[in-house]
Amino acid sequence: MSALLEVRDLSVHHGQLEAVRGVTLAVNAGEVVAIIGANGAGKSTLLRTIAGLHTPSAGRVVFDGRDITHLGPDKRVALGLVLVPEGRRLFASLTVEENLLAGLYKGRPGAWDMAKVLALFPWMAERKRQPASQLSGGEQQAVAIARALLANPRALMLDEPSLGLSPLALRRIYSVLPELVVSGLGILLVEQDVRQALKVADRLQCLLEGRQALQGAPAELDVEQIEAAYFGIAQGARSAS
Amino acid sequence: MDVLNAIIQGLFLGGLFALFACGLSLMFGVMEVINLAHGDVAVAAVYLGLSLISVTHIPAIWVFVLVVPVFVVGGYFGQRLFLQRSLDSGPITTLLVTFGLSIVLENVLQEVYSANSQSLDIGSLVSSSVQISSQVSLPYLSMVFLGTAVVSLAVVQLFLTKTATGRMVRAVADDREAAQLVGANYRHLFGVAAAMAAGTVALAGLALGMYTSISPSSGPSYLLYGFAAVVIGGLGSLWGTLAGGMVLGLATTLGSLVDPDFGSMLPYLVFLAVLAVRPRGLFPKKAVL
Repeated sequence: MSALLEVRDLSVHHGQLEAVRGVTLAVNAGEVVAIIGANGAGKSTLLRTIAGLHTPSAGRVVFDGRDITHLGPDKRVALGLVLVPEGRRLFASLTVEENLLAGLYKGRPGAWDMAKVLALFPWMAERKRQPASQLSGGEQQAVAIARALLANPRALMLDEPSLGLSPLALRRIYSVLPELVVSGLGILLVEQDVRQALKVADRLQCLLEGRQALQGAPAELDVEQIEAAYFGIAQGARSAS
Repeated sequence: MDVLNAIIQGLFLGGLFALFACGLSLMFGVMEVINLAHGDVAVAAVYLGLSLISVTHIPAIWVFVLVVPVFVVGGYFGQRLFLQRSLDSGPITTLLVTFGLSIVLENVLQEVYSANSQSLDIGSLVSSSVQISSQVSLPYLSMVFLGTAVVSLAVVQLFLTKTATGRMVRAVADDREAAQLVGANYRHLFGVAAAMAAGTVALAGLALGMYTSISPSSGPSYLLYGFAAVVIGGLGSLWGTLAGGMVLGLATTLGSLVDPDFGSMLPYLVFLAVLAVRPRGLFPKKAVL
């Protein structure tokens, strides 16, 4: 069976800079794939390209067997490929409720509706009339995820959901992931917090300067390997020192 | 009593300014387009109305029903086929394109209709009024205009807050990329905003054409009033624009009490004063719309 989301030899340029260089990956339904890497490794660019916000210079993006490399970002949402962008990106002048309703705008019909989302995040019901800009970072992240879920994605991409969150808020956000996976969602997660990524991921990919430096299941990888791939330290040089 | 009459007149006129300016506010708030042809679009609506009357001989009041939809549709496609192309190549291009459009519209109107000023003739309605007391009277026409302005602004506001499309227009104004990530086709939503802008400015233009006489070159002077209303109220805030329009209207009529020339100068003095004291307008908004 072919994967839900496939990326083949994808390269992306920002002007002269090649931010992503020949990355290949696959995400199956009901699976969490985590991409780790240092700042500037090309993680966000990769996700944004899969979402359709950047045009790749080479390679293909295939969703459910269909080549969507040149499909607009809005059309990908309707197919069920949804990105929760870095920094939440809520609509600041809209209320919490309006932000959630925006998720329904071009979403697919499916199991997620307002009632189910409010059951997952009960506090949102009381605060739905507040402007989204008044929420804390963790609350904003929850709204951003809820907004994405309301579109009933088949594959959900999360770009640094832990960024700027307190440990408690981070635990809360990550506590909803298993429930999403059980529902058959494929999740592609970008995370700087390697320990967090190791905990939730079925498979891991490490990017280094736009290239794939390492991949495998967390259980198969040891810490030294990950460190080496993350920071780009050559194995030999490391043992020599 | 002259003062009371001037205040009433000023509020009526202010409603009209606000209706005229709300399209400017929308275009800037949603897609950061400063439409220099905004005034000329209003003038074009008057001339289209005049042509309709001379061809079909319908009563002038009916031109509202016929002309406004034409401009709504024209606004949508004008944005999609024309403005969007310039938007894709940068903000300066858009400014130049709307400036060019303004010149083209002015000259086409002058070529077709001559440079003479004309007005939409609505017969006796223009001068009839309700006498409140011996000194205070409410002209029908002004009441109709204020009513139209308030209702139109309320409809625009309701559309933006209560409908899914309107909500997404605001979302696009906040963060275009994030809106795309929930499935919004921003070009379509820009078109919707342009349609609202063109519809409201056509409505305002027709009202102005009944209130006063208009020539093909009147556009830019109305544009100045529109800008002043938008800036006084606070850029991108619809209710701020209504307040800004009221301030301008009051300044015009109260200034005219002193001297007719002062009436056309006072609005700009107020405008400068507001800019000096509150550079972000009376009702600045953190976010657009």
